[in-house]
Amino acid sequence: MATIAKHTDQQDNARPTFKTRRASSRDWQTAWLWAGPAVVFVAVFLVYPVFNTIWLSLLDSTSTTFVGLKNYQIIFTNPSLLEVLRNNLLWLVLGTVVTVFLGLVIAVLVDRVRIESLAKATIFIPMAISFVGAGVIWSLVYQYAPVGQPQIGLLDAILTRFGLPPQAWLVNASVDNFALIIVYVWIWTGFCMVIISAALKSIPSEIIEAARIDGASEISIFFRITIPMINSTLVVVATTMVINLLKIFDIIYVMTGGNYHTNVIAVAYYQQLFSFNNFGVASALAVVLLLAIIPIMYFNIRRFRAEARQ
Amino acid sequence: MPIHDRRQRAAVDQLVEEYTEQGLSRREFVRRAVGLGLSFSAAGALLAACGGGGASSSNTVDVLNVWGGEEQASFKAVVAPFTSQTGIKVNVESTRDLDSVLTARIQANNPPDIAILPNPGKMQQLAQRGKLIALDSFLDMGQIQNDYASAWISLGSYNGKLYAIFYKAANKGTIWYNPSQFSNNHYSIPTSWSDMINLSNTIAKSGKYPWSMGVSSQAASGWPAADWIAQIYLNQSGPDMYDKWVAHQIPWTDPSIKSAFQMFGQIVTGSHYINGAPQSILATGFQQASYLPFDSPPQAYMYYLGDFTAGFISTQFSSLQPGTGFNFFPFPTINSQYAGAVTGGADVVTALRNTTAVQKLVKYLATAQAQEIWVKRGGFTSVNKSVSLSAYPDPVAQASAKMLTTASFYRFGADDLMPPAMEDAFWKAMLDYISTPGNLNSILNGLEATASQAYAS
Repeated sequence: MATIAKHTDQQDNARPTFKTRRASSRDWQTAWLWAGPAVVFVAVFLVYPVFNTIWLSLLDSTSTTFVGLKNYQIIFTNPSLLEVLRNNLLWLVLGTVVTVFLGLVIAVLVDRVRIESLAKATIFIPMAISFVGAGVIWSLVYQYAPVGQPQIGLLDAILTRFGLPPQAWLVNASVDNFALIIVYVWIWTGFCMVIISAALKSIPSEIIEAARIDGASEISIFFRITIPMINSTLVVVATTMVINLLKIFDIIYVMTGGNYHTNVIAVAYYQQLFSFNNFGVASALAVVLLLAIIPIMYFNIRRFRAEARQ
Repeated sequence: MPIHDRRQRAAVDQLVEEYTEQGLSRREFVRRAVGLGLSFSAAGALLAACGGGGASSSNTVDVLNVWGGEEQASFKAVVAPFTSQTGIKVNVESTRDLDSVLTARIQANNPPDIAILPNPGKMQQLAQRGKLIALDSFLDMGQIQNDYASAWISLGSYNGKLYAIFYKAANKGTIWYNPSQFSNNHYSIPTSWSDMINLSNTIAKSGKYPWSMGVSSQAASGWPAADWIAQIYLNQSGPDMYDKWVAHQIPWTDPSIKSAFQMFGQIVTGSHYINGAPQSILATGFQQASYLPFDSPPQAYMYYLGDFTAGFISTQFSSLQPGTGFNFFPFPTINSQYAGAVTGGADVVTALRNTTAVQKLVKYLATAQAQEIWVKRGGFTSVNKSVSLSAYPDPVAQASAKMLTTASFYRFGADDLMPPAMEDAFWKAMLDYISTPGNLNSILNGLEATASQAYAS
């Protein structure tokens, strides 16, 4: 605060100066008056449910007897639930890397093209479609019909046109996860691209020109100047993707229902809670998801604080 | 209203249940609530939240079901005379996601008055947890026993009390075929399993695909194949073993179960039986697959699925007449001891609140007159013996109803009778079996492992 006061003093005498002083009890009262409702809201709808869920995860399926860590044991020993965790990891790594990478590459390429706005709009449009809508669209793209029958699925129609056998993309366990991740990439690359594009535009052009004059190639400009300068944006985009991917639900639920080894935590949680009425395992899955997100939250908060201090 | 003590909270829950289900008086409720430690105003608020049980619910009934479109229109047509006779309004809420809506509302102590569940497994679970009203406390059991075979009454009971009326029944012992194709090619209707295999081989040798099969159904994929297993098992091992299987009194690794899977495997892996097998089986929807025998030219000749398939076929091929354009033959005999055995399904009408309006509606829905309204509209098979067969609109529906009411042995689809977690594992196991039939032993072992957990809770 003191730094700001000095700065405004020096800059413009017409602006009011802010004197720093210790906050009085009246300040605290005012602060609580403004922040109070929000704090109560968060406490009731966020904090209490978290603790309640943690407690429920230690009880059995009807929430009547205490079973300790048995639900967690089930999650980490039952092969289908272990597969769920593995799938989430796959989604996390692949989804984040591909969307951010594609977003970055497209943003850089589109930056110097005349049809820039058109290109950006086209890639951004899938963001306007709900996950469920995208799931339905891509289910049709991936649809399979055996040889000899008319192909409704776009991909299989292209394959059969070239004489290749049609594939059941959503059923074949070796490709279906990737098929689903492609849908996510299709939706979210636009988001990454738009944000990275804005960050790219904020790089001062003098630096790039100076580098070009010094004889740097485009590739080395990209890796040595561009990327380090938009580093914080890349981190923001990546953490947003990670948080999105940890709770991915609609795409899997609509396209495969979690079958054929595509199940993820959010779908498994939904099944345990509503179909099997197993409140214990469902709560345990929610807690596992919470624990997975905590490191990212911590990282985010540390970064916010560091930036606020600058 | 801070109720931190878990025992106190359980006592309050118990009190709320007694109030809403067993008609505790309001004064008694408030007295006991205060005795449990609630303040007077908190008890009053809780009473209000429980819906008062007063005038507001005496002339409306909330019904929750999964029907939409044509089915829902038919249900409303059934209920319309009831409303005009008694003046009780029926509010119908429909959701395909019945599980989550019902779970949420029961947890919130705001259950619907009546829930029409698509399978009895859920009904057993709810009855066990005490969420359903026993129907025999207000129905005329003499009339019920007159109208419904004892098999249906015992299927709807839990611990000796009746909790469900079987409503819209499905016959799952039907194999669909194209009569004109069969007569053109001089195929005869098979009556035994070996006849059916011979017919399939004959068709396959002439370069055509005898069977159509599709099990895709999003989150529920695999259930049509589970229907196959249940029907085969009932025909092969009989009703007593079937009951043991469903109740997990025999393990999934029992040879009778393995044998049923292997018989199903004869159709899945038969050479030139199914076009594009096994991928096409997994990737084709059950509705889509029913069209194949009726395409021109036909893409297949036989398709096994319940009698509701008639609706799919007639909607897709509106020019085909039931009986001549499409028809079914009963599932072939495997073991002559159990000939005429049929598996099926039904929606069940259950009551979650005990009010006079609910009692009247349940009584009405159970009567033959109410059911005949929907029967005449088509797409509804009744298990009420007093519904006359001539009320059915076409020969296919009549034949199906006759098959149901005259079945030598009748059992519910096995998957629907199992706990939900087991049913889900069963469906997924079918998907695994279709893609890799060689893994049968490990698949059955996996099912057995799931069963030990699923039946315990």
